Amino acid sequence: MDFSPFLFQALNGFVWGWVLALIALGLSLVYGITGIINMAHGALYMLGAVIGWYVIQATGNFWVALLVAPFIVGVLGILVEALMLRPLHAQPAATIIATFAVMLILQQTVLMTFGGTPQSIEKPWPGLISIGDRSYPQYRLVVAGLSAALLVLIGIVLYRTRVGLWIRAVRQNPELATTLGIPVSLVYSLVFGLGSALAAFAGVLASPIVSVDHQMGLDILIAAFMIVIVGGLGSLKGALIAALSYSLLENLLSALPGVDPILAKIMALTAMGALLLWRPHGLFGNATA
Amino acid sequence: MKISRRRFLQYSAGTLALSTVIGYAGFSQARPIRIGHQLDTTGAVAAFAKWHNKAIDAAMKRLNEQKGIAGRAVELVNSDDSQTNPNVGKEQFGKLVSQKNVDFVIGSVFSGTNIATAPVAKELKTVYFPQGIATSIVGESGNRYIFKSYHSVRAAVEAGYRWALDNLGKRWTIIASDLEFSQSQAQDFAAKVREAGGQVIDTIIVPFRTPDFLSSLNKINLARTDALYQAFNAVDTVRFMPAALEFGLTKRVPVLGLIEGIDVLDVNTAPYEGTYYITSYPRRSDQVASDLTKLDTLYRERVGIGADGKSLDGKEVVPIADLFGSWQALSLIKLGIEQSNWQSAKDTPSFIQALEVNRILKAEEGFPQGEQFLRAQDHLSFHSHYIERVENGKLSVKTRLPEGLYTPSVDYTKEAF
Repeated sequence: MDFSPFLFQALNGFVWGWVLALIALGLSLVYGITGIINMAHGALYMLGAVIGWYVIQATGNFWVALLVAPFIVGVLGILVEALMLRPLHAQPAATIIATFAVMLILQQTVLMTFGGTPQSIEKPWPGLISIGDRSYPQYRLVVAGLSAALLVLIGIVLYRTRVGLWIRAVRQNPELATTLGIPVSLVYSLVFGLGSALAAFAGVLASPIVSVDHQMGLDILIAAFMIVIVGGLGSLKGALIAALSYSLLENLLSALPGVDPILAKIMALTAMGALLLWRPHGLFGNATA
Repeated sequence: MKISRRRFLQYSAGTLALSTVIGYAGFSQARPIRIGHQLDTTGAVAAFAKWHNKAIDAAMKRLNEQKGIAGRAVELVNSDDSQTNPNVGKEQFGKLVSQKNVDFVIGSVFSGTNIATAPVAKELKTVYFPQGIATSIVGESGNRYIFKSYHSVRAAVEAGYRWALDNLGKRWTIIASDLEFSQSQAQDFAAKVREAGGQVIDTIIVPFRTPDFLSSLNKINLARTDALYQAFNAVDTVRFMPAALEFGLTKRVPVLGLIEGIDVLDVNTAPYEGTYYITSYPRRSDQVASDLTKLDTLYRERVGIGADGKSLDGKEVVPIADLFGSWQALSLIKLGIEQSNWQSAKDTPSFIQALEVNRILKAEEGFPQGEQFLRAQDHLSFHSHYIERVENGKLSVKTRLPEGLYTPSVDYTKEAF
């Protein structure tokens, strides 16, 4: 029996899991620290890809786009937090609606300017790996690698720096943090800006795989929320494990004979739902988080 | 400037006289015929809808320059955004008819919206020209108020399958999304392959807009597959084709699909090279048969499409074939009104009956796509198809196919109004 289809599927599941973790990272951070349920996460991911596309058109360089787009979207995120979300902080329901509005505004603005036709972006790293008679694009390994590097970097910032200490303090008890002189508003702005920049970063990195169009954010929004919730509120480790297990499960299921990709997706999502019934606060969450 | 009362009266009289003269020179005093467009400004088919709107507008301008229809001007009434959403589209259809008083409606490009709207068209007794191509729209999901002047999926598959089996292989794997448009193709193509003695190795169903196509590609049984039929729309195709190239599929098996999957995409990149499409009109004007070149020039000029199939600014690829559906819908409206002497909504049954005649529609400005056959039973018109292949980054016609006539699954002429 030829095992290369299974091997291929296992590799793809593992690698795509890191891509998903990267896509969910910004959401996890914002959700965990500011408590904002950011419905605009997918739209910020899309905006990153769109800005990336324009930068690539202008400069011809993908890596420039990977730096410029997150910066612009990050600044936009800081503005959105300061102007729109800060006045609503005390009301979680209102922030859902506000970020939903941001999502619609971004989507329609992109439709009006960028147009409705999906645009492809060429892979900046075209190499392939052979697995039996199939080949696997090396670019996906690059994305997975960058995702891992970013997760480590964010971990270091959170647990080894002063700003990280502030962020963790604000997350635990904002009132107490304020009395200790931590600039809580600034922390919220920075975290939302960082979350937005990470979404854009993921958007640019994913764009050579998924291409760019104004609705691409909706494709990942549900998966991203699921990963963050299953992983446990704001837990980076949890989000990574959730992303990897969901992706591996979906990929391995769809390797089974008679299981269509659509059925595999349904089964994997059902399994994630069941996991939440067993652990309502997610893998690494607890009731007080 | 202050206008005195005398001056005001003079101006008014002058304007009135002038407009009367213009009115007599152009159209009779009759109310214009109002054509609604169920328009998806946003969502998956927004890029198509915008061009359909331009095509309708262009076709109307041409009609109005020629004194309209039966001496009455035609007027375009756009719906609010139908959002590529069946429920919203259905609602917008209702508003077009009951609030905006349109006489006929040219429909959404989204098959799901067409299927949801069809029963409402019958209920409101308004003739509806859906632009989606899922087969069931002119089958079990349609009714006597539906007319289509551009193919259904089944007609395209019927036209192309024989060539595909003779030239690309006998053993097929079909890969499709869960959209109505894709499912229609998957089922019809599988049925035809089996009927012709070929073999369907597998049909792989992928969620619409899936971000990762590699795991689906990995399901293809490469050892047993001669050729692959892909039934994706543009958003999925643009993800699927590069993944197929990387996976190593494209260089091993030929890939065939419907033009609707790529008709807003630029194919001048490696993933598309060598792929085949069943099309209903050549994208590039130098591929158009000599008997149609004159009409081709007129059609492209009127709608604003260049010889390379792109918008005049070169920025967008125009779904050129798809737009015939809207252009020719107006020609059907004209034909029906002239044949039935339609005046207003009460004459709609005779309008329908006038079009319910098996009839050859000659290639002319109203039907620039080429000669077609309007069938009475299912209200569908059949036209030529082509096999086109991407060669050196350009779609090139390999062969022109017959019109893909299939046995109708319904007979609307027997249905009560």
